[in-house]
Amino acid sequence: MSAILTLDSVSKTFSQGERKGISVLKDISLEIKEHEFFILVGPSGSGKSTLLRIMSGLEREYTGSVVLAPGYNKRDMSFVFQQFALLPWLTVYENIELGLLSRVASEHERAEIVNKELAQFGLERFARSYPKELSGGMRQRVGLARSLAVSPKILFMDEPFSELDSFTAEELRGELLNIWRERGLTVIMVTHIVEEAIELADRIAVFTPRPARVERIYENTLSRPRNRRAEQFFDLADKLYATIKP
Amino acid sequence: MKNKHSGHIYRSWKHVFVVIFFVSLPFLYTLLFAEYANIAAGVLAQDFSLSLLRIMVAYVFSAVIAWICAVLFYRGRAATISLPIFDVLQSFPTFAALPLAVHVWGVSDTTVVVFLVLTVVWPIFFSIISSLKLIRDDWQEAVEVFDLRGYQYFRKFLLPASLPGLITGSIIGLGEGWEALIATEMLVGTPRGLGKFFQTFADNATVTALGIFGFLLAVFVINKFVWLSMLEWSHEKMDQ
Repeated sequence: MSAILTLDSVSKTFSQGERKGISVLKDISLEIKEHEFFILVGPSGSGKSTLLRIMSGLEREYTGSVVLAPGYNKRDMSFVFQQFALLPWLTVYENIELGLLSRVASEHERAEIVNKELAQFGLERFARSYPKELSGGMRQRVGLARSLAVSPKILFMDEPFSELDSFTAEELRGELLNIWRERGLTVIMVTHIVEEAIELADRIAVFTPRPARVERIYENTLSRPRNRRAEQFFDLADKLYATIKP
Repeated sequence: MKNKHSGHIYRSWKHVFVVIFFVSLPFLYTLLFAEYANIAAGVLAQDFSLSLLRIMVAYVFSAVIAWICAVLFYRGRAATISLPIFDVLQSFPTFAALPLAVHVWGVSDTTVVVFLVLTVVWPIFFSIISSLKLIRDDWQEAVEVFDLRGYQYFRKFLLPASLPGLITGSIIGLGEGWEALIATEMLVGTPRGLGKFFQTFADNATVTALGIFGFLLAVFVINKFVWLSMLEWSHEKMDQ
């Protein structure tokens, strides 16, 4: 598999505000491969979200380089937010349609795509509802539907399940894996939950904080579907924990 | 409460009658008042509509100017530099410049409207700014990721996000506006309008009091049925 996104000595130091002068990221070089499920894991405040924002183009103040493979552009990327980031004054339907407004001119085509995503996530009944009327799990389904509606090739996910209860999170992880496989996505996700990383990822980059560095990248070769009680699962978890807290 | 569907504005027949009663109240009052004070009802209505027209024109200008400025200056470096400046400008003693304005534009509607705008624009501007400050970072990021721009950015993002502030600011701004309107009309000496009306009856406490009461009645009805319902609606929409 060839690289889809290449990071070369990416560093970031806050240039203003309370944290001025503090170095958050130091010399991070990474290669994300096409179609892989890549996870950045590390403790809260270790700068993983900042790195994700740099990779996705949301954060522009950094040094070093982030290069997309030829044939890809910014419009091939999409983002799922930790707190869903749904616009409260738009209905579920309108929220999912958001990214299509600038991409798909025909309203009829947009409707087709939105309806397909509504069906994918079991949201048909809620098309006319507002986000506040939905549970957290349903809201993140809308967040996922919205990000997938634009047919991304790279999906960035910032702790997408951390605001959800464990049952809902479990269910959504399953759905995400199916979608990742079916649509041939490249997923780059941030989490602070080691078990979640092992369940989902092909490769796991372990972050250590202040300034954040990639301590090590683990290949996760466990066969899918992954059993959280398998011995190899625990082995890998132990290694990850040991790397985070040496 | 038979009609509990969300689409219905009126909850019952009683509700409909109460609304009709309150909307017609200012008109009934004007008739009775004109009869009592021995002025032609038409003249009174004209004075009131002329003043209302002035404040409405001034309001439309103020709302548009305030909205555009708020959108331009609510965040980033622009906000750091401009907000303190606006804060000082807001305290500018408008009436100090009134004689000069009369000198330039004469005793005219332009003078009155310009002075009204100078009063009404500030509360609207600052309320919209405070509304826009509530925009969460991740909403802004979502808008960027999903590439919302131009008209869609306005319609799906900026306008809804600024609406509660626009409405709150309009309520405060118009409150101050009515006061400034009557003062300006009196000071400028416009030949018609509410300012003129109250000046005519300067020596009649009863007519002045009844006039003020009628005026408050009209403002109450406008607020209750236009602004407060809009405010409630916009808060409902913004609720997360």
